[in-house]
Amino acid sequence: MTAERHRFRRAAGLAALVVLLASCATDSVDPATPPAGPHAPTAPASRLTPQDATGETIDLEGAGSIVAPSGATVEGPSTTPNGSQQLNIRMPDADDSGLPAVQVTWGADTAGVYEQSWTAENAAKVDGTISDYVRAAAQWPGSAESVVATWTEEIALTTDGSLDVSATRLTVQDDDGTTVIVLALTPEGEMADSDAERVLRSLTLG
Amino acid sequence: MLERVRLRPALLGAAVTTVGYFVATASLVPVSAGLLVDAGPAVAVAVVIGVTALAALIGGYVTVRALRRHGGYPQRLSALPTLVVMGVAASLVVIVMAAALMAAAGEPAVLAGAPAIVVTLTLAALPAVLLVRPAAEADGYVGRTTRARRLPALREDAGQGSLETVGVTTVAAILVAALIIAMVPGGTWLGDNVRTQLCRIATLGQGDCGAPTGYEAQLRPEPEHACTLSDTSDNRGMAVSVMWFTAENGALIRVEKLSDDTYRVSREASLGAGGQVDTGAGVTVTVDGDTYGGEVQASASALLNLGAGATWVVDEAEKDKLVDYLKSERNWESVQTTLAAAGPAGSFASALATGGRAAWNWLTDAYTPSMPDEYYGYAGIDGNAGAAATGLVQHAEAGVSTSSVLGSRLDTKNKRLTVYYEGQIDASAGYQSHLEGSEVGASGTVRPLVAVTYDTDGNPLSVQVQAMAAGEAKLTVGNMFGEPYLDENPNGGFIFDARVSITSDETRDIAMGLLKASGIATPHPVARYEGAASAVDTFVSAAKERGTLTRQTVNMEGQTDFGINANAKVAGVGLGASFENSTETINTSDADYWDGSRWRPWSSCLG
Repeated sequence: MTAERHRFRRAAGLAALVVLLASCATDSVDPATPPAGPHAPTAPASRLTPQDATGETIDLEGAGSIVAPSGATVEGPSTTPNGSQQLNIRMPDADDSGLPAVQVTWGADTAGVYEQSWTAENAAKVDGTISDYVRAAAQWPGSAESVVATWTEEIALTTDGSLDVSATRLTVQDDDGTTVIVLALTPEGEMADSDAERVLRSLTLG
Repeated sequence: MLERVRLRPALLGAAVTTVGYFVATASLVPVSAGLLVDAGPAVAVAVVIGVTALAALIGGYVTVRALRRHGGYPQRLSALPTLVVMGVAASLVVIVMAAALMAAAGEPAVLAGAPAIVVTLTLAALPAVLLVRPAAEADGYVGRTTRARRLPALREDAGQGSLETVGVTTVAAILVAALIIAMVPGGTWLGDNVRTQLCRIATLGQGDCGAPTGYEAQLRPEPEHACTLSDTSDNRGMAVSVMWFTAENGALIRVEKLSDDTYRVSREASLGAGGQVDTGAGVTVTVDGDTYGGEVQASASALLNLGAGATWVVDEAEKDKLVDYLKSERNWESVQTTLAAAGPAGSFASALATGGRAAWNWLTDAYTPSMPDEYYGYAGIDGNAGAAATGLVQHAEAGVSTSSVLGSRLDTKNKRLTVYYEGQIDASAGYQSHLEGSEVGASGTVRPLVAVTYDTDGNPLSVQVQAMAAGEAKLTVGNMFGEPYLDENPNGGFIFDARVSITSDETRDIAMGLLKASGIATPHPVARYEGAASAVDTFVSAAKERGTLTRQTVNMEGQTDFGINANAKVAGVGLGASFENSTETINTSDADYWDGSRWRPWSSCLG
């Protein structure tokens, strides 16, 4: 009986060790805690989450899909100078400046989400037309690393004036290395609960 | 009747001739260069010979006048020996000074024109006897040489003794000053202008004579920044590509040897899976039908070929330890990647192995690197995001954000941030001035690498423009940097690098103008911007005058069929084997820097 107890204790101890080590090997991350690493976002995690939407589903040619509201105008896709694919979605209630609008860009990429968004943030910091830039980690199905950046930007117009806009950009990457970037743009202060934000939140990978 | 040689008059005349020679060739000829070129070769040659002869004639006149004052000029023929000595002496001084000027300019002091100088300055002085009447002839006592009979002539020359003293002193001072100017650093101005203008005349303005230099463009020292001597990447990955490219689950260690005997060791932090790096700097190299990033050898653009990571700047001894450490870590991560692919059991095994790894490091007191000196990141497809907002807004001003962000690098010590852009400059907008006489005109778009370093407040500190002139892009890029006539290099090309530090409102405006011309958003208004061509020319000129301009020859060993496609995408060159190491080296040679007037060997960059 004593020997059986000893064997049981050893087995229990081993199991506990296995559980402990296995837990160390998992990738569980507290969503509220900014990830570590020199390129990781340092702002508190974004609360932007995926949300189902109704309307026209647009296939992103293997990268996923996104839903545009009925009556929206889809421009593209076209190929960007660096070879990625890109399309623009104009909302049904777009004003003279074409806003609200959404731009979707996708393509293979060797840079990770944190790393490339780190550089995008650096470039934004020194761009005199951009202010209030915030980069935060997010949780998005199908993407091990996801980043949401928000900012305000002053766009120079051909009519000698300028237009202040609010921007939200979601960057995700699937397991195959395909990066998808969704940029939602509205007149300043009109992003929350806008059609553009709903389109952004409708992104599905895969 | 020939008289004996009188040295004082001869030397006085030689001094006057020397000064006259340099005044004529270094001032009058350059000033009238345009007129001479327009007048044609015959007139130009006549003018050059004429002004040189005139200098000798004036010197001869001064010699003869002095000779008459000292009673050594009873007849015209009697002055000839002194005039010949004067001409030869003047020639020697001119030749010696010219050699000194050439030496100061770093050129071999071989003066092919020495015989012509001797002949011209000597023969042209002889007619001076026709301009001054001999003393006896002037007094009507031809053939008499008594002191009493020379008195009228002496009265005529009364007061000239003090003038000669003043003249000799002044000429001596000028000669000393000229020698000092010629010998001190920055003394190339005189020689440069002589050479440049004579070259222009000789080639009727069609030769590559360089530009006349101003006092503000004095001899510049060698660039202080280190250059990259070689670039070796040790790449291991699954389905690996060649060195600077990455592939699935791969990792890259980059070792750059710099000219100051330091090494930049870079390690990938993480990689996105799949795909090939589009270096995007606009210049790519095609070898045997496969396309490479042409800018990979340059330290400034090293990040372009990597995803993101950290860079250590170390000496040779630490470099070896660091590379061994990073290789070990890389191998370890390869194992981890493999384990992770095995599901939960793999995660378990990975956790077990992690503990063992840590224990091994502790037991063996393994080398641990210090904090990286820099972090860098590649922008990926997010690089065009800066232009996205502008592109989405209708009626937005076009051309503001036509550039792409390639990457960024953060100095961990001083927190200075460098952002790398792929600029976009319309080459057909106005570089034709460098190509006059060429059968090929500049066209298309130049996509240089533009690096801007900012302080912690976002104020730009310096701007760097880099592009590779090779293959199809050789003429266009070379023209952008004012060098359209580059030597052919079938196995490589030339990397041009222009840098300007922003130290004043003027340099800030120049730099911001360049950024605007490149389609890069600027944090400051651009007051001086007058168009792309003007902005680029102004920036390159500023780099020549007060910044740094360098060029390096790039060679790729053992590879042929070299070509450059300025706007091509990078296609990978897969080796097709998992876990296969590959190492390739790109070498640079013949590094030069612009010293204010011409290219000089960049000795500290030659290894």
